Amino acid sequence: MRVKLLPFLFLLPILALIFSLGIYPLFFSLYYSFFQYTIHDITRISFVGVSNYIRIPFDNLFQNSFSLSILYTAFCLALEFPLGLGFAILFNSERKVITAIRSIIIVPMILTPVAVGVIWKMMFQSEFGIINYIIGKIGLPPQPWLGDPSLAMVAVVVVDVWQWTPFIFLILLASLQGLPKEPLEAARIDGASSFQLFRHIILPMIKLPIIVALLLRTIDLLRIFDHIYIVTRGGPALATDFLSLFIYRTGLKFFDIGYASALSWIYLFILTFIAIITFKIAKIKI
Amino acid sequence: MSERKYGRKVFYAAILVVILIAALTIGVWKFWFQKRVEVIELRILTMDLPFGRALITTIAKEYQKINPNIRVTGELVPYDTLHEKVMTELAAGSPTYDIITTDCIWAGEVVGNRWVYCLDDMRSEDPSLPPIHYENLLEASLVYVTYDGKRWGLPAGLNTQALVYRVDLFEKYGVKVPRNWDEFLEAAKKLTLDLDGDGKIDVYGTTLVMGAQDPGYSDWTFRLFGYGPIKEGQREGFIFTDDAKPAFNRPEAIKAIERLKEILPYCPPGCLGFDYPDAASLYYEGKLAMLVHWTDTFVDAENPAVSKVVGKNGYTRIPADVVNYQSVGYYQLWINKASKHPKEAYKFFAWMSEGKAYHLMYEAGENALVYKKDVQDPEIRKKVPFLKVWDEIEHTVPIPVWYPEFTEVQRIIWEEVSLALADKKTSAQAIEDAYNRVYELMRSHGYY
Repeated sequence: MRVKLLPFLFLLPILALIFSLGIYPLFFSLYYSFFQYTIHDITRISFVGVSNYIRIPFDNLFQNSFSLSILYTAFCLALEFPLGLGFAILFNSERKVITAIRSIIIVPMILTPVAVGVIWKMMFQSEFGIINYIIGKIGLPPQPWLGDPSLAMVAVVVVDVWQWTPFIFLILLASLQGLPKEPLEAARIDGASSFQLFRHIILPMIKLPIIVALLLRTIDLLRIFDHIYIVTRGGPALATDFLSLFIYRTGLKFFDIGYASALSWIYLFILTFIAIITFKIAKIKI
Repeated sequence: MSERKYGRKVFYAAILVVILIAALTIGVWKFWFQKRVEVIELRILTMDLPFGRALITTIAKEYQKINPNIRVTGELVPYDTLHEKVMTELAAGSPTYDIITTDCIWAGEVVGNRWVYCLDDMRSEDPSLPPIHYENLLEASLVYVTYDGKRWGLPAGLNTQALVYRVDLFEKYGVKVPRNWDEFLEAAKKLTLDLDGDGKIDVYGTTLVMGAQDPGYSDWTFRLFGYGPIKEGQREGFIFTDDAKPAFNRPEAIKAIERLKEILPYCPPGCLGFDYPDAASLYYEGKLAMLVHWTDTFVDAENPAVSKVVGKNGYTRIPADVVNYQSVGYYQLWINKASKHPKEAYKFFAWMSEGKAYHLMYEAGENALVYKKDVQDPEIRKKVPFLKVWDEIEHTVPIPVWYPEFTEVQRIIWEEVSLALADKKTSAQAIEDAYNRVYELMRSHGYY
């Protein structure tokens, strides 16, 4: 059988691009993760085997960043999922007003994270920010939103929930609207209550979109960078120093390329592991 | 047969046309290109501060007037991204920028890797190059461009810290201008004010700026340096000993953190998350009675367009518990080793060192002046009131920039001090942890 070459020729430019910008740097970073290579002396690159990988679990900063990332992801998902699902159920209607509200709800998702970060940073400003102004109006004292370690975590969670709840809402709304009417009508005729209808009919039918939405958000949250960098820079006192910020700083502020590469690979493994586990739990074949 | 003949004619004509078009294209392109190469473009990567803005506008224009074949252009980058951009450009050997700007704390990285030209070597190799008049610039600024006894760059300015304070409030409440940190604390207490009696604080005594590495580290060093170095003459002894070991595991370093803690109740809530602009805007809004920091932090205090406290400010040296030591520093300009026009860049530096360029920086609003004549000019001293702070300083101390690891060292100390201020660890523990981390960093980089 004669292989047609022309289609491959057409694919060649994009393959070259993917290889040079995606695959090659990926494996290049794997290579460098076995070296001590810092910008302080670029002429001295020494092979250190798996030392960079061994160093990771004993690094207090990594431990701090890793636990913060997990905590942040858990907080955000715990808020975004019920809110997104609630909104999806609430706005699952074709009335014109509802359609208009739906459009408004998804606006935050459209904004760039950097712009969102700048806006929220101004809103959280302790002296001139609108949030302290509003809580002052209801008689509460001003809060150091970005200057107190525990409040800073609350602040960045609020920003993410505000921006990304619409994403879960959108996926779940689409799946609710795509549900077949017959099983729902049959259940209603059989006397199922609204809760029973939701628990035993709707929820199993939208399981897959829920898993997909949660998985995408989990991965997004674990690699969060943009608005954290703008709003808190990982502070105060490392309270929001998430893993992506830590890796960025190691690689692009201190140019410890070897260690940053090892961190990135561990990070990649963590994300892949989470994805596989999620799919296994959901019994989805990939 | 005639068809074949006709076809051949068309073929020859087509070849002729192609040759003509090619010749014309080459001719036009060469003409255009040669016209283009007559103008050399010097590209500067610089900082979004008055001196940087002047470099690519008024200074560029002035230089082009006397050198019509040189076009000076550039890019302004905010502080946060400048380090990353400079390092990636230089490490990649990119010729995009002929001249680059660094904060003095990065000098060790650019010179240590030989990513920039040694200006003294350039002149030795080509004696036709004009001299650079370093003698016109403040001596203290040259520390950051001198390595191994040779000059590598050109200072863009020179900066130190000052205590800026609200003269009106100090007079009204009868508070003495602080000379040590006890008096500073006392003043902050007295000047944390509820002016309208609504139970809310309208003016805070001062603020710390602990939300970012550079200001946070600086806040701690202001206190530490006031205890003096470990031993006389060991100027880098505040942070490092002569053999690159960390030198701050001493009671004074712990005391410096305690000094920061004691002032927190008189700072705005959230100051642990403040960066330079937050502190500046609070001062300009009249929300602070005092601020101790690098003078470029409050460069606009006398600018009516942004400040509500114009004409109400006093400037003096920073307080000290034992002896006044203040760091000096600022930005430097270097010639990129990958530049395609290093000699033109050198000539630009030589011209700058004659003074006009520095004066244009001053006219653009720069206050970290380094050109001696400007610094001594009585008219300028009237307009830049904190220049008088230079006269009050007892000792200056250079930043140990020639350790390329310094940026990371600064980060470590800031992290640990921040953790202590957030009550995540004790001050003593923070200093011990900072010491161990810096020691390990320097050890892993082969210093010992």
